[in-house]
Amino acid sequence: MEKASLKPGAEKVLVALSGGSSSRAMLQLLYEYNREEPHKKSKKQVFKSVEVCFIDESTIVGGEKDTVENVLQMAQKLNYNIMRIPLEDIFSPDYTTSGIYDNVIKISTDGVHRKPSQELFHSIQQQSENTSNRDKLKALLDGASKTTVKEDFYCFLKLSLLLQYAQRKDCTRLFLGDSSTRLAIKTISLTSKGRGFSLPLEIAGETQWFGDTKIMRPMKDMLSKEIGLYNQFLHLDSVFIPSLTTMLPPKASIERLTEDFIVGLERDYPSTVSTVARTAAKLKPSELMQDEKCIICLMPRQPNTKSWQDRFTVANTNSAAYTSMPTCSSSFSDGCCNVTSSECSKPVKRANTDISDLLCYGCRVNMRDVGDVTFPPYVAEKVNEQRQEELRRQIEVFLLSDDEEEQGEIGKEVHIQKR
Amino acid sequence: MSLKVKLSFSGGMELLFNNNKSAEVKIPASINPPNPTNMQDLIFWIRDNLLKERPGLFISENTVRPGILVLINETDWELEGELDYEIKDGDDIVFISTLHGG
Repeated sequence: MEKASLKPGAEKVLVALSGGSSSRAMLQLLYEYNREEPHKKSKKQVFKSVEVCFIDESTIVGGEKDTVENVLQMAQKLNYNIMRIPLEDIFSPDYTTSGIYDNVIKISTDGVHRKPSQELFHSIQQQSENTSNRDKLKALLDGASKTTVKEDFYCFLKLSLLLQYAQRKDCTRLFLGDSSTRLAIKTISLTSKGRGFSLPLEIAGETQWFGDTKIMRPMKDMLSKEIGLYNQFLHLDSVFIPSLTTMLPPKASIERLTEDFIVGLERDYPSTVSTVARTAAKLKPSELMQDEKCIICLMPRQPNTKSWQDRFTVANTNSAAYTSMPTCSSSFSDGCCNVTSSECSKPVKRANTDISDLLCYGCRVNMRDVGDVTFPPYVAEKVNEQRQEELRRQIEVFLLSDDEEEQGEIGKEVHIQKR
Repeated sequence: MSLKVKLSFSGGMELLFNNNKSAEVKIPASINPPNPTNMQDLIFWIRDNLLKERPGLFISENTVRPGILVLINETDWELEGELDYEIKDGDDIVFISTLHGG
């Protein structure tokens, strides 16, 4: 961790604690690092305060009864505030930017199921109150048939929760417990999943991509083996959190297979992990990265991934031909808006438009595997934000032209009056 | 003659052993006579006698699966000769899975 970049005593930190060995060790190290030491000259703590957040997945993956209690105690022993957020709370309006947004987004494919190129229709609707958040989460995960996709969703939901919570608590830093081993695995698995564009952010020791909250990975230079030994010798008990791939064979998901691969290589060639992790650490975020976030994973998306994907995949020619202009709202240059405005508004069905443009490549690939699913409010909110942004841009054009027209008409009127 | 050994499993390993985190076991001093019992023998012995599920998640290529940390009396087993280490009476052997989700 670069101490230089820290203003002592000014920042609040949120630690993401899963209870597993890596985050357990991270919490301990942070505690040691941040402790007020009487013999030091400056008695200021490095961080103003430390919040701990535990995302409870037990409703989905199960686990032992006392797991939650054990995790809460880990933080309480160090006198830290700990907040337990059940993963299904992602469906609660509390975890949206505005804090009150209560609509969900239903995404459905255009009938051609599991084709490489497809339009994704969506409708934003009021959440039904009859189903519990837990069932909604289950439905979302069950909507994906591949474990890889499920794991991805898992990851995004967790990150989204953590970021929202960090913002609510005014934490300027979010600590994630990715170890060097995990980052090496992520490097390979994210690349295979088509997330190379956002890769530099997802493995960076420090990133500002999420604005006010800096994500940091203090454990990035430690091997999982070192962490295991550290915990063993300090008698730090970590809990075991089952994951989606627990007890499954290595080929259950890309993530799992990559883990097997990297860890296996590490045994025979002991510097594999650090070589991969250090090589990946040299990656710099692309300059093409703008403010455009994928609505699901919140990572940067490249514009035009869709047309790009269309070009190299064999798809139904019909759908490929029409995808470039799914609705009038997508762009002005595609000729639709040359017609008069009354005709133009007809084909636009705002409730059911194609949102595949708002997804990054990785998420688009994932959506191939998904039927009809309902995403939590934060996604719906993002869609709304982006649509409004788009609308504003369009209105700007109109405003300009309106002004000109008005001026012209006034000019005419004046002319007539003069005559 | 038999050896008393303390075995511990953590990090998800316990799932393979019916959620038992530790076990005190007695193993023959020489599983493969005339050689004294070494780690290799112990690992197979665990597989045959203690393991409840999925041997593939414990053993691969005649040794423990990569990603599983083995400590012999609080020392990394790589320093003790790994599979060739000869088990002594009263040894404390710990298996820790560092893999995601065990």
